Amino acid sequence: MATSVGVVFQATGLSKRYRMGEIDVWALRGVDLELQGGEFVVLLGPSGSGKSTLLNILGGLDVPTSGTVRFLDHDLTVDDDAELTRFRREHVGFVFQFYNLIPSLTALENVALVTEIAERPLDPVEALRLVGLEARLHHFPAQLSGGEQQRVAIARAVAKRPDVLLCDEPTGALDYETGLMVLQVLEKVNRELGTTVAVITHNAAIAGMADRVIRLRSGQVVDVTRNARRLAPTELSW
Amino acid sequence: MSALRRKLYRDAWRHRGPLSAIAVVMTCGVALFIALRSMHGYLRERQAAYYADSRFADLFVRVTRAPRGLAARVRAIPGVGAVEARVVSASRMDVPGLDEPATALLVSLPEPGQPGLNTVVLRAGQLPAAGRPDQVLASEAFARANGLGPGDSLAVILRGRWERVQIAGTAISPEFIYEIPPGAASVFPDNRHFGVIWMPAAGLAAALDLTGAFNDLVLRFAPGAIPLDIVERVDALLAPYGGTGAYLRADQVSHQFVDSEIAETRVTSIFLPGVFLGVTAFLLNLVLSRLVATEREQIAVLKAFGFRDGVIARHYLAFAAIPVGVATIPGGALGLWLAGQFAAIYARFYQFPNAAWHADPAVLLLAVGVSGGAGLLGALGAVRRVVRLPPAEAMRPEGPATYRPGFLDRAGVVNRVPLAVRSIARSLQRMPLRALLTVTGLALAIGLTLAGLFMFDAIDYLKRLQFEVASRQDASVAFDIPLALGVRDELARLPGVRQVELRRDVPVRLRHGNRTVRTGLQGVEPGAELQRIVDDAEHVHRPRGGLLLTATLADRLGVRPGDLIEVDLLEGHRRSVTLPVSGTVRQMLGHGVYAELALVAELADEAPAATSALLRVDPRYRDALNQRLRALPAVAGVGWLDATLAGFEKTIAESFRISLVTLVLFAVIIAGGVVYNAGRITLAERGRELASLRVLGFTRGEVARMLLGEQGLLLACAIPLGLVVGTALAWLVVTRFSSDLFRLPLVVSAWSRVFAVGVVLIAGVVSGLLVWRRLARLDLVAVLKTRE
Repeated sequence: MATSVGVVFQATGLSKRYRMGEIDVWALRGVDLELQGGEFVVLLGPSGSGKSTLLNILGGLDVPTSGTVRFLDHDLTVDDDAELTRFRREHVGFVFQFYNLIPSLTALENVALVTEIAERPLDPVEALRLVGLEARLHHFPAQLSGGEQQRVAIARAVAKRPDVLLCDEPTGALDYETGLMVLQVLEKVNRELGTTVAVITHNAAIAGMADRVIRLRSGQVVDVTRNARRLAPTELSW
Repeated sequence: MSALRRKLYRDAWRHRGPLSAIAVVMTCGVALFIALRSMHGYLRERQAAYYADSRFADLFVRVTRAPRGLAARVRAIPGVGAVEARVVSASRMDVPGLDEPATALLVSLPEPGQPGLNTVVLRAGQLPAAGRPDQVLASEAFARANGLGPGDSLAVILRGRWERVQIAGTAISPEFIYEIPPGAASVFPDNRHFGVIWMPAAGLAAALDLTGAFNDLVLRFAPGAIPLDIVERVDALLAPYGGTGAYLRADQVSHQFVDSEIAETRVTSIFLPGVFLGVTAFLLNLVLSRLVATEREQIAVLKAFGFRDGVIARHYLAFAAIPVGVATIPGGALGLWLAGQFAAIYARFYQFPNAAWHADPAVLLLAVGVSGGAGLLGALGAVRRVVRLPPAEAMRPEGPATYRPGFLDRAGVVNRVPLAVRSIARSLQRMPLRALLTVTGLALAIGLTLAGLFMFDAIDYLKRLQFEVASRQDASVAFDIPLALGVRDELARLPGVRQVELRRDVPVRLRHGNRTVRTGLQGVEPGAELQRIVDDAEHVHRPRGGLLLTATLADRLGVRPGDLIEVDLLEGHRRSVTLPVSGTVRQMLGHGVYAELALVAELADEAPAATSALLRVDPRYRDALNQRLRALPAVAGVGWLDATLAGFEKTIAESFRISLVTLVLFAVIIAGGVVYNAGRITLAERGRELASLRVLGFTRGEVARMLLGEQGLLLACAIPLGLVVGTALAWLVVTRFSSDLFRLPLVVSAWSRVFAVGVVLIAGVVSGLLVWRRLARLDLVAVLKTRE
């Protein structure tokens, strides 16, 4: 269950270097960051600003070259595949730009797949109702629209009641109306389940619905702002 | 180098794993094709050349004694090209270094020089010198088995007297490629105890009281001859002289064996490479289809830039051509090497002369054509898809793989299994053809191994049936002439003899309707225990009160128990009688007709007599017994069962081991290639899916189970099918191998099944581990970032 108060993620001096062929690329250069429990955070920045790298490190998909990052009592700097897998399994829900559903499983089964490995999951049907897909339970991904597929992906991510939901350009591949619907779902998950949500995007308009907006450029945090009032997704426009 | 060419090489390098696997399977196919095809062609060619060079006869006939002048009358029969009248006789032989007496088949040699038909090929030494009646030629296999060569001497019994002869040379002849004594109980050659000795005709004829006469005649047909017509005329002409019935080359024992085995290699030379090339085509199709699917956008770009369909199609065809082209070089080299090995083994086995093997360019060319064809077959589907892809559609990413509820869903099966299995089941029913082909490939691998192992099972079984169940004597003694039954007591008094059983063999011609078969009537004792007539199921049969026929013989005559057949005895008083068939027996080895000893005597209108005896002997007295038997003039030869068995095992070991090793190795390659490539393709297709699962918190093991579960399931399906395929292949071998002389039993041991399945399972596990290694290196982030 998401904590309603207190720091869940604590990162200090995070740096990440990639070797691209002959040259070194610094994707992150000394990032300090805290995420509060139950917060809705938008990480904003252009391509190459390091926001995806940061999300991957927070989600336990990657480890920093230097610096520390902790999630509650998990040390995420340790490059131990089994340990990171366990962390993702117990605490993280991911939503991707390209949905990444299992094409051979129906919407319901895609969600159920994850609830099978979770300790206190939501009922898969309940999770799909949450994203408004109760009528499409038995459809395969190929029979769903892009927005519907993304909502299944969100249902799949939240069904195991993660502490944190990490979304990488969740509306990137969607048109405006569909994107809006997806954002409404994310907002609802944050509000009703109290899940910490971090969304990365290069779409500045989305920043309006966040509690806090963290701006990145060239691997560094350049600005953190707190919105006085969170806008409803319907109030956003781009 | 054009950019497209460069892309080709880089793509190929990126897919080096699957392409290598394909190239290896293809190499096997090409190698087998060349090796087996060349070997078959080589054997046929050698056989024909050998027969032609040696003027191998078309018709054979034995008589008791006919004047030499009669040969000219046979020569005058229309359709007869050449005639050779000979003196042939079996005799006992005393071989230096051999305790027990051996049997010689003495064949006359004109003086000086070679016979006009069935000429011999000298392998060492020279022909007997003029005026040296004591010089002989010995058959090479016999000489080699006993360590004899030119200059060595041995003794043969002629007219009851030991005569020393000197080996002038060793020789081979197409008549005795497969050397077994006439009327032998065993069909296995025993080169230590049986050999052909060619002797100067005058001396041999004189010794056998056949001066100016012959007792054996062979002839060659002139072009346009009508064989059966000639058989009839020859029989009519020779009947008054004790003719035992002429028979054609097709019934000549040595030719029968050689011919059926060569025919067998032809079937193998088509079937085996076919399996490998088929699997190659399938794997190529798998890899290329996948490549085309992932390169949709690239193909679209190329088309948008104005590359013509033909150019793009050629690009992907060239991709397919790489493993095919790469395989032809090692495949060709391996094939030529194997062909040389096989040729050497078989040439030695068949004693073909001048057996230098040379590569046949036509076979090599055909191999290139066939492998190219297989490659093309594999590439065709994918390349057609390339050509058909409209550029605009190709620019759009491929949607999620289309899954719909399949028949397993409708049947309600899927909903009852865990989700991971459900996903596997749907993926399989989405591409049933691919699943089917994968299963087929694996099943073939199991089947091939099993069919290879089956040969050993069958031979083991035959060996046990022949040497433990049917033949239980320690030694068999052949007599020069039929002896009165009192010989039993004489033999029983010899040192170490515990049990004696007598037999009486008479050459006969059996007739039923218009069908005729020339064979040996074997008279056995009513309670025969040492040599029993045993069927496939190991039941003992006895010929009570009539004739007991082997099933193959009964089929040839078209008779069933209760039918009457006419029996012409081709010896003694040469009577013809009509007798009922009392039963048939389905025997593995040999064919013939059995009757009780007393009945044979009655038919022959003579006092009961025996032509051979079977002995059970106390092993401590073996040497003493050999000595005594050697001294008995009426004994034509002595055969010890253990020596026959040893010779049999040696032959089997020599000829089968290399083929088994090759077969198992190749089966492993097929299994490995199929599992590895299928796994790699699944990994490529479902990489994103599996990476998403890893991101969602599934462990590497859980994901691997889903990926390899599919391969495992296919492998599990392939096992029972493979066992069925293997048994079917074994059955094919059984039917192909069956001749009148020899039938293989369809027995497959549990051990063979376990081994065949085990080999393929291990290949599967190793390939699975290779895929697992790639899975471990899967870059989660990169996979998720890319659009399918």
